[in-house]
Amino acid sequence: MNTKKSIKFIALGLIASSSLLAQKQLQVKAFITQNNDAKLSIRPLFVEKIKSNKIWYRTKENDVKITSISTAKVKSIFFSKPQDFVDAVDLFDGRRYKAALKSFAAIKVKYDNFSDFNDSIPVLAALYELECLRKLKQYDKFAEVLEAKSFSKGRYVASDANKTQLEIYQLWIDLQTDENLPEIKQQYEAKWKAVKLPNYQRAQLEFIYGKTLEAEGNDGDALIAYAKAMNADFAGSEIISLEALEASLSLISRDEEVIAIRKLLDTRKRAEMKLKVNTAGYVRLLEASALVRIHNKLALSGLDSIGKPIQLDDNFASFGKYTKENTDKLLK
Amino acid sequence: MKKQCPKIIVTAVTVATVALSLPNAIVAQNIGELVSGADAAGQAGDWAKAYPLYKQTTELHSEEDAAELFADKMGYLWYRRAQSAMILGQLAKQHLVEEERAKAAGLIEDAITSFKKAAAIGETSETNTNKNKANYNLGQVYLAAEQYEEALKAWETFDKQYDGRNPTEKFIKVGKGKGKYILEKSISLLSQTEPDIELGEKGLLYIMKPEVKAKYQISESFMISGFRAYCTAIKKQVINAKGDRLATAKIEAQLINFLEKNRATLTLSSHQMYKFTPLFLGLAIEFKDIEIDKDTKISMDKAAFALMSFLPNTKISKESMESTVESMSAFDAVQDNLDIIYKVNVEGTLTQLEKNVDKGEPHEMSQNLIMASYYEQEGNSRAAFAIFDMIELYHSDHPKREEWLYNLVRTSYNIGKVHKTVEFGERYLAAFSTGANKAAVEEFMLTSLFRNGRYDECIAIANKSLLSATEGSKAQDVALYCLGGSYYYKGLPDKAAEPLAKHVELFTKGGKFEESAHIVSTSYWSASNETYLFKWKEAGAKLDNFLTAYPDAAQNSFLALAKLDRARCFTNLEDYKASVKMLNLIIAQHQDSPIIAQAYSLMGNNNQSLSVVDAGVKEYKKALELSRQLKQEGIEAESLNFLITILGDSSQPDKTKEEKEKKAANYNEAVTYYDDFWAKYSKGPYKAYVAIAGLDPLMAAKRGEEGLQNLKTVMISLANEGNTSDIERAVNSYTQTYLSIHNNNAKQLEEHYTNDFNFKTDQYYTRSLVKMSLVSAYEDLGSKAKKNNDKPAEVKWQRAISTQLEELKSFPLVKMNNYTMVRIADNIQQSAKTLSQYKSAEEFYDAVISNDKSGKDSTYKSEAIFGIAKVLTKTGEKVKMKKALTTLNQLKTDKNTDAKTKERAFATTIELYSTLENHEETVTQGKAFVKEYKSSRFRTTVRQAMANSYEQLGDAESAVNSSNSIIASAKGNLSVTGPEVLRFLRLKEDKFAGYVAGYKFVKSRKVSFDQAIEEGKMPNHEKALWEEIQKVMKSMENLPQVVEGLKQLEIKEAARQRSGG
Repeated sequence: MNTKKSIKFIALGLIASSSLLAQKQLQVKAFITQNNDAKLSIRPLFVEKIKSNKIWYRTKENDVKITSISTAKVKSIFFSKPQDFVDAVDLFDGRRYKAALKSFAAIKVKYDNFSDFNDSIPVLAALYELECLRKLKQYDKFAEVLEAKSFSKGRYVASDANKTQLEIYQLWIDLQTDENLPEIKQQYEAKWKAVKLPNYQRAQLEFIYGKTLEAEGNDGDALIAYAKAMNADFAGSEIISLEALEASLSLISRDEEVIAIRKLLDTRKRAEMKLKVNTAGYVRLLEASALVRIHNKLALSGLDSIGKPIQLDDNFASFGKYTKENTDKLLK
Repeated sequence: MKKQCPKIIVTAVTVATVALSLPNAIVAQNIGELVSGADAAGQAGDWAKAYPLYKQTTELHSEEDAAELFADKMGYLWYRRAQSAMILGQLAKQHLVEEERAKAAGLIEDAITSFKKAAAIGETSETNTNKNKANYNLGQVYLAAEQYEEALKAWETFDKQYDGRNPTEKFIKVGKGKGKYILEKSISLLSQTEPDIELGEKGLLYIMKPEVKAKYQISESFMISGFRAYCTAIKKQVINAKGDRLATAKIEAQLINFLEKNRATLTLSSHQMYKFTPLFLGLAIEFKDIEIDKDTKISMDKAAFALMSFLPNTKISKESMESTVESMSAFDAVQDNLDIIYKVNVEGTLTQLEKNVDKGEPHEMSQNLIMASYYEQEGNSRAAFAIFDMIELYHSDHPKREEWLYNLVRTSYNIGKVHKTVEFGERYLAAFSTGANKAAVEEFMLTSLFRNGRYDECIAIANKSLLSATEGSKAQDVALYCLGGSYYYKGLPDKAAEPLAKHVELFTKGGKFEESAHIVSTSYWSASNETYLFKWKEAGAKLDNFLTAYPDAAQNSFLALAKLDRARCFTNLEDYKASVKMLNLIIAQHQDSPIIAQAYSLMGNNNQSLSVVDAGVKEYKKALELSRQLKQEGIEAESLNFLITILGDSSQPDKTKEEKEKKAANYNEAVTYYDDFWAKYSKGPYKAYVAIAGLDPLMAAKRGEEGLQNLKTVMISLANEGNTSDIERAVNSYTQTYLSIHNNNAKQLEEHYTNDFNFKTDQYYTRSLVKMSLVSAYEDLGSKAKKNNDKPAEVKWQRAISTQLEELKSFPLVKMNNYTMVRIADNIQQSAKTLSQYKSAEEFYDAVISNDKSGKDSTYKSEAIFGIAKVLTKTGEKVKMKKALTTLNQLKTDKNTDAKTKERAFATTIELYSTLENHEETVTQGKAFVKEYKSSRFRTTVRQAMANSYEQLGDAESAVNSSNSIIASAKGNLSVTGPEVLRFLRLKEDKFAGYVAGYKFVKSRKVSFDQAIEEGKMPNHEKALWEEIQKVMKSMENLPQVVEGLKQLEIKEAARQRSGG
């Protein structure tokens, strides 16, 4: 997933040259506008910490004098993204989630002094950390990050848009326990079904919803939910896409009618197959076949290191051959 | 392609109009003044001012003079002129005003010429420090002018002449400028007429590495320009491959690989990414549909899709841009890592986004639509539906909504999600009542509802649709088909008939309109529908036509069904042999049909009707076996039912030893099937039949109580279901079996019903049946008592019957069957003493008649009519009596009325005529009756009426004759004979003969009647008649004719004795 696109990202800017700051107090370049709409300084200021409702800064990075301004007097701050943060985001965007996870965990700690505002660097780093954990399917580690930062009070504050994602993380945690499924389903239907959520959140919620439907044996609707999960964010949510694709294929591959029809086609039982062409099982088999072909054709679930669509399990990949044309040939 | 040098551009955000002419104010003759003025303006970034001054300095003297005068210094002036022209040219290119944009070409051209001059001056010396730098810049201007080959040539010269001594050149070649130079070269390599992808890609891949990009501070937008050039080169290469699949696939893989490698670099911050949305979407669309030549197109779907994956989400882009603008607040521009963000740019992009959203054209929708079409092409309507559903959620206010609402209806139909078809269909019809796809939407809704058995909704929509559908239209075709079909499957054959007939009439082959795609269905239903109306002959004829018209199983999925229906018609018309023949045809031709088990089952019915029991059993067993194979539970249950019924039939012969053994064996088998049935279908529709049919075999197996227990459960469940068709048989069977097990103890049964069944108070129908079955049980006991001359017992049971019937009087009429009501009314009449008591019977008879009229229950109608007539003879209401006469006459002449009812209707008519004092009619009808019915039980009453009418008409002789014959035939029944004896005595003209006959009558009965009176056994009204007769006889003794006659008789007697006789 492209988190620059999906996590609501209040542009954070560059920290000054990291080499200059290597041995000294951590600084972040910021552009501060005061309440009276005047610039605190025409040039960027070098902020060193935000604490107890005060922003501490130097006008030049090596200035001996450190000044403070009350946050109450500040209308807005634009932070230039620090290079290590930009690098970590690049790792994330490059879909190198393990490495990104490590970087964000370190950034979260490193910039702890810059927490006291919405979607601050450490808050965003924590959100990215959660996002990496989701991509890596390490749902068991969500709770730890979520609990450590409340994201709602004190110094860690997530904006409303990101709060929605925090709620969705909780659903991912809940999804791991079967008895929660009915309640999750209820929550989806009451709260999320009709909301115009950002695509990547829609993809997650549809996948989660699909799981609850599958659990109650509503295969048809589960497949619809999975199809939404696969396509809501196009190739943006590649992990969800693949998970939803595999969940669909797994569900279809367990369908007894489908198993029987596959057998008829594999053993070229023409007469018996003739009786099956209008059955729900055959339609479902064709659906699975289309999913596999679209996966191969479009790389909906992302590409591997050599630019080929992620290889599906053999049992799933073999669905691809059951095309309508092939059946028609057999029945001719 | 638009090329730009962002580093230069961004230094001049506020742009003035470019001055091409030289303003007088700054004309200076002294070149030194000119140069210092130009340099000052250039340093201040005022290139509009600097350019004309530099231009002037280079044009003050001829080139030869200038070379002479200023030598290599002219290189500097030409360089500065070129530089200012280049900057102004690039600004002009982006200017919003077209007039200004038109100046760009001239400026670029001048920059090229000037850089060339700057590079050429001092070729042999080294004093022109701008010489080689000019080569580099020349390349840049060529790049801006999209002259890529020239640009590469200029840079080649630059590289050749580079010696590492000039610091600016060093900056470009190996310093901070290196990254930009590599990118500029790569863009040119990729953009030239014959792109050098290998080298161009190499440069790009290097620059796009995050650490390299950071090191050389390459802006994101410049990077994207490089990517654009790369894509263009790739596309060119695809076109050159001329559709060679392998080569194309290889190129596609190369592009995808590139995208994957550089995903991080190409993924920009949301506010920047949105700006490039048209670029990525445009590229995606280009790669989806590449035109090789005018006849050939090729799709690189994977590449197109990979490009689409870079598109940012509109919602998030918007939020991000808003918060960027908000956090920039007073700043027009801020540095964000390596990029400079200009508020005006972000605001511009934001405005564009809002415009797109307002126009309802967010790119997500385009992506969604493309994806939906992919899925449909590959044959997955479900995923397409899912995507359309999301489009509807996110973009329901879009002008194109009609299109996807229709697609939602269509795809939901394809995947059989009927409630969605209806939901979206209704949304469509509400929003687009005159939409282009309205008829199709209605069709999908109807057929979807229909196919899924939601007939009520289907009927509602079809009826509505028919109101506006024109004759012969597709809409009418579908609506009639669905309407007729819905009624047919709903089991409303009366309603199904008309739309089906109309559909067949209008849309049949060679009919008024084009043949419907549904004609086979409606033709079949129309024929089959007749069987549900029990019009077996009509159904047979229609089915024959259908089978002739559509004999091909490939085009007629109803073929086997139609044959089965045909066989059923034969069976019901009792042409069992023809039915068997048709069924054999089915068995031979449709062995794989799902109706095959039903065919065997019907074969069993035929054999059973032909009393070929063994064959019947065999066919039912076959039906059972097949239904189990085909997992047809309904047929399995039905076959078990038939088997239990036929094997458990108590009327099987059991006289001989063999017969007894066979019956016992059959019972045993029936019990086995019973157990099978009960384990699986004890709650199904055959439960009552089986519970009843299984009673005898279970009793034989000493499991009678279990059978009763099961039947009891069934009865409670039938009562709860409100089932009125099976409960009656169930109650009667239960009563009979219970009594036979419990020594005919009807009282005990009554208590058992009361205590153990707990029927609810409002289950009147069931309760009435229970009471009637008790009535019947008490009647049997009463008959036995009568047979045994046990008068007290007879009275006791009669009282028990009356109690039940009395209680039933308070039940709602609609909750009782006709039999019950007739019995209640008859009971009322039997015990009635007053006119109002007689009249109270009427409402029950009336209810029976009205049940018959409504078709609810057509039994016991004539009994009700007679009942009413009887009441009327008591009450004498003339108007009503005339009505009753009409009804009776109809009954009498109706060919469907059975002989016994006709006879009774005839007799009752005569009785009514008599009550109405229509004596002529009484006599006429009476004569006819007596002539027609020689041994009718009504002869006496008819003759009584006739005798009375003769008397009233003054025809004493006929009256006397009638009375005479009544007296002769009714001998001991004084109620009948008494009035006739009195009439005889009254009317006989020969009084003495009358007296003699009376005398004989009295004499022959006197002993027994007197004894009866003495024992108190004679009813009062008979006693009165007897006394009256004797009184009349006494009074006649004094009549002269009698006195004379007696006298003559005595004389004759004396003479007889005298002659010794």
